Amino acid sequence: MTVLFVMIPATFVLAALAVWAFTGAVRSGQFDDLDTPGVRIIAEDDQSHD
Amino acid sequence: MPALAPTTTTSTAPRLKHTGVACAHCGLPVPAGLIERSTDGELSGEQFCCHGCKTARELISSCGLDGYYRLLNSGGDRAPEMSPAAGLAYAEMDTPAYAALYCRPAPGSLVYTEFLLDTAHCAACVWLVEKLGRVVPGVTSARLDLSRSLVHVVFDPQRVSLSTIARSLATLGYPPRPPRSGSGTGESERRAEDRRQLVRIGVAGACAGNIMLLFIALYAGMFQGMDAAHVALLRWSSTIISAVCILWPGWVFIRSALTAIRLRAMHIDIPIALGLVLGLGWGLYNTIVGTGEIYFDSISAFVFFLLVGRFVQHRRQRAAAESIEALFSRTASNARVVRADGRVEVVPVEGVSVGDEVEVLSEQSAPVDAVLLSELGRFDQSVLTGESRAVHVALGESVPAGSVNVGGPVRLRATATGENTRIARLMRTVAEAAARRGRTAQLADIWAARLLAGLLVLALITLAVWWPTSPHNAVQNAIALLVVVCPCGLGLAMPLCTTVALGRAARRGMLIKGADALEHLASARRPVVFLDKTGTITAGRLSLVRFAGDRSLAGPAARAEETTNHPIARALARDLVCEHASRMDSAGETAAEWSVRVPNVRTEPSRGLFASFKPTPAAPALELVIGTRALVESKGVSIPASLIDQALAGEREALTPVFIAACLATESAQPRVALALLGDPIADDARASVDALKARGFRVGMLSGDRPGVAAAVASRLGLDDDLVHAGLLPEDKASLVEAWKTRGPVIMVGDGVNDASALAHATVGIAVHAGAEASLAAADIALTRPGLGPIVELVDGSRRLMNTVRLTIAVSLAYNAVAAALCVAGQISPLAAAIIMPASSLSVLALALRTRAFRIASLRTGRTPANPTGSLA
Repeated sequence: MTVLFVMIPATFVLAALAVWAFTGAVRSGQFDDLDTPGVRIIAEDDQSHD
Repeated sequence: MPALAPTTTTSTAPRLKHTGVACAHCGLPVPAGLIERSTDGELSGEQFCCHGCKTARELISSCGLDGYYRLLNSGGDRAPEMSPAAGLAYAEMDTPAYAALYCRPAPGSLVYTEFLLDTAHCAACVWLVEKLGRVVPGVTSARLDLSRSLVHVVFDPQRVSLSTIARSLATLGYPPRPPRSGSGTGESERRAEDRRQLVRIGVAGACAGNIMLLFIALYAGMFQGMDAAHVALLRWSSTIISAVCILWPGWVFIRSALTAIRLRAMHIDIPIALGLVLGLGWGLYNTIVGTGEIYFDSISAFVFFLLVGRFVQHRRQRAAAESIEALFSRTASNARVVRADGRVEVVPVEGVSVGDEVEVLSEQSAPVDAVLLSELGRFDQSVLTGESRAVHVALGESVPAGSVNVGGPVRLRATATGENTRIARLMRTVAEAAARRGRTAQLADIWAARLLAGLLVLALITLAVWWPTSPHNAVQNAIALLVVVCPCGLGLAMPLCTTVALGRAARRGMLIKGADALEHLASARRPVVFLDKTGTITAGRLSLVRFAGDRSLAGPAARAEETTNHPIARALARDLVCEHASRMDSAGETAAEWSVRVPNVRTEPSRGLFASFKPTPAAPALELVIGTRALVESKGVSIPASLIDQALAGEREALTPVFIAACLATESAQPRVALALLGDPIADDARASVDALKARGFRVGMLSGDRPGVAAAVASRLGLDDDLVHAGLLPEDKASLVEAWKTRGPVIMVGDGVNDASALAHATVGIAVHAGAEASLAAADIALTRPGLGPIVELVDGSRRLMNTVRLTIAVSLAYNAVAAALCVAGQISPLAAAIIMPASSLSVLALALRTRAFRIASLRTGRTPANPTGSLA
C-alpha cells in the first residue's frame, strides 16, 4: 500500500483545486439564487436563444 | 385560446355574473357589458376583461411571445391581474437622483439596475420577464430571481430609458418598484457576507468528509493492525486538513468566543471554540510525538454541522426580514415639484429641497414636511396621529410628511425634507431604541454557560482521579472531555428548531425577524399586551357596518357614489357592491349591470348627492337621493320610523347614518328607502382573540391616538382593563407608556401606523399587523400578513410550543453529552466512540426539531388554491 504515499498528497492537490474552483464559483454569484434556475429549465423550451 | 379558468373572487372584487366567456389574457370571466359581439350575435375576436389585459395581450403577441400562454396553462397558473399601476409613467426613474440610488454602471457602458416585481410568481413569469430584450430593444439582459421577486436588468442607456422599461414591464402585468430605499452598499455587503459563509461551509464540508475517509482507514487499522508508516501518513494528513478546517471556516467561532470573553458575556461559542482549539492543539502534539488519541474527525464535523445550522437559521431570518421589506408601501416614492416656469417635474422624494413648491394630488401623501400654499386643504393624518377623521388645514399651516390628501390637488412649500421631517426623526428614535436593545441572552447561551462550568469542574476531577495512575492519561482524558463533550447538539438545537418554526410561521402569514422575539413571547411572566386601535383592532377605514331597508337600492346607490371622491362615497361604492351585488332589484337587474350605467349626478357638499339614471331613452328615469336625513326629507320623501330609530341607535355607537331614497320619475311612483350605517368596524375575531390572550395569562390594554370617547367604546366592547386603556396619545406618548410598563414586566406592542413605530421599537416584542405602515414594519420584530387579531394568539401558542421543543432538544443533547462525559471520566472514551455519539446527538436534535408542533398546519387543507398559491388566508 505504499501507493498511498503518492495518492494522498495527490488528493491534497485535487482538493485544493476543488476549493479554488468552488470559491471562484461562489464569488462570481453562481450560488446566489438556487431556486429560479430550476424554474427556468421548465420554461426553456423555445427554439430561439437570446 | 386559454381554457376557462375557475371562477374566483377576491374580497374586494364584485361577483360578476358568470358569462361563460374568458379573458384571452388572464382567464377571468369577462363582464357581460364588455363582451364584443358581431352583428350576428357571435363573439367577435378575442375578448378581454379589461383594457390592461387587452394591451398586454397585444404587446405579447406582437413580440412573438405567445409561448407565455402555453407555459401558463401547462403550469396551471394565471397571468397576474392588471392593476391601476399599469397607467403610471415612471418618469421619476429617468432622473439623476434615481440613477444615483438604484443604478450601477455595467461593463460595456451599459447600466445595471434592479426592480421588485410583486406579481411574478411562476415559470411563465420567469420566461416572459427574461425575454424583456425582445419587448424593449436596448435591454441586453433580464434575470429574474423568483424567490426574492427581483429582476436584474442590464440595458443600454443610449437606446432606451428606464421609464420605458418600467412601462413595458407594467404593461405586461408586472409593475416594477425600486428594490429598497437606498439599496446600494447595504445590499452588496449582505451578498458578500453570504458568499463568504457559503465558502466556509463548502471548505468545512470538504475537510470533514476527507478526514472521515482517512479516519475510516485509521479505525480499520486499529482493529486489524497497520504498519507505523501508514499510520503516521494518515495522522499527519488529517492533522493538516484539520488545521485548515479549524483555522479557516472554524475561525468564526474562535473570533466570536474571544469577543465574548473580552465583553465578559457568556456565548455558546466559548465552549465550542475551547473544544476546537484544544482538539487541534492536543491532536497536533500527539501526532508529533506519535502516540495518543486524535479527535480530528469529531471537531471538523462540529465545524461543518454548526456552520450549516447557523447558515440555515440566518437565511430563514433574512428571508423573513426581506418579506417584511417587500410589504413596504407599494407606490414609488416620488414627488411632483413645481418649477419656476410653472412646469411640474416628477422627481424621487430625495430630490426635493427645502423651499421647493410641491404639488400633491388627491389620494397622494405629502412627500415632505411643508406649509400649505393653497387656500384650503383636507388631510388624513392618521399615519401620525392614528385619528381617521380628516383634518382641515388653512393657508400657511403646516402639513407633515406622510399626510394623505383627501381633498382636491393642493400646492405646498417644503419646509423640511429627508432626514429632517417629523417622520424621519421618529424613525431615528426607532432605530436607536432597536440598537440599544442589543442581543439578549438566549436559552442556548444560558445552558452553554452551565455546561462549560460543569465541564471545567469535571475536567479537574478527571485530572485529579487519573494523575496518580498516569499523568499522560490524565491529561488525555481531561482534554478528551473538553473536546468530545463539545456542545454540538446544543449549538444546533436553537438554529434548527427556529428555522423550522419560522418557516412554518411565514407560510401562515407571520413573518418573524428573529427567534428571540418568540423566546420572549413564550417565557414572559405577567406580560402585558398593548393594542393600537385604528387599523389594528379596527379595520382602519370607513366601512359599511349595517344596511337596512330596501336592498334593491344597493346597486344604483353604489354606482352613483362611484362618481365622487369623498371617504363616505368610497366606502359606499365599495361595500354596497360587495354585499349586495347578487341581489336583483325589482326590474330583475343586478348591481353589476348597474355598474355600466352612467348616472347624472349632482353633489351637495357635506350633505349628499342627487343622481338620475336613464336605463333606456324610453324608460322613465330613476331618481336617487343619498345623504343626510335632512337632504332626503327635503325631496319630500318620508322616512319610515324604523329606519330613523336604527339611525339614532347607530349614532350612539359612533356610526354615521346615510339615507338612500329612490323612485321612478312617474306620477304615482312610491319612493323606496334604505339606510346605510358606516363606521370603522372592529375586527371580527377581536373579542375572541382578547379573551384567548387573557386565558393564556396576558393582560390586554389599548393605546390609541383617537378621541377618548371612541376609544372607551371600543375598549369596553373588547373587555379590556380600564387601567390599561389610554387614548388621545401622540407617538411619543405611546413610546413612554411602553417604557413605563416595561419596568413591571415584558410589554408586547401591536400596531400598524407610523404613530406606533416608536412604541413598537421600545416594546419587548413589537408586532406590526396586516397592511401596516413602512415605519412600523421596520420597527417591529414580527409582521403579520393576515388581517385580524387571531394571528397574535397563534403566535403565542406557536412560540410556547417552539420553546418546549427547544428545551426538549437541549435536554436530549445534554443527555448524549452526559454519556460521553461519563465515558471520558472513566477513561473509556476513544475517537471512535466520539465519532458515533456526536452525529447521533445531532441527528436526534434534527429529528426532534422537524417534529416540532410549533406553527404546525393542522390538516392538509392549508387554504391553497391555484388562485391563492401562498395559502394566505387573506
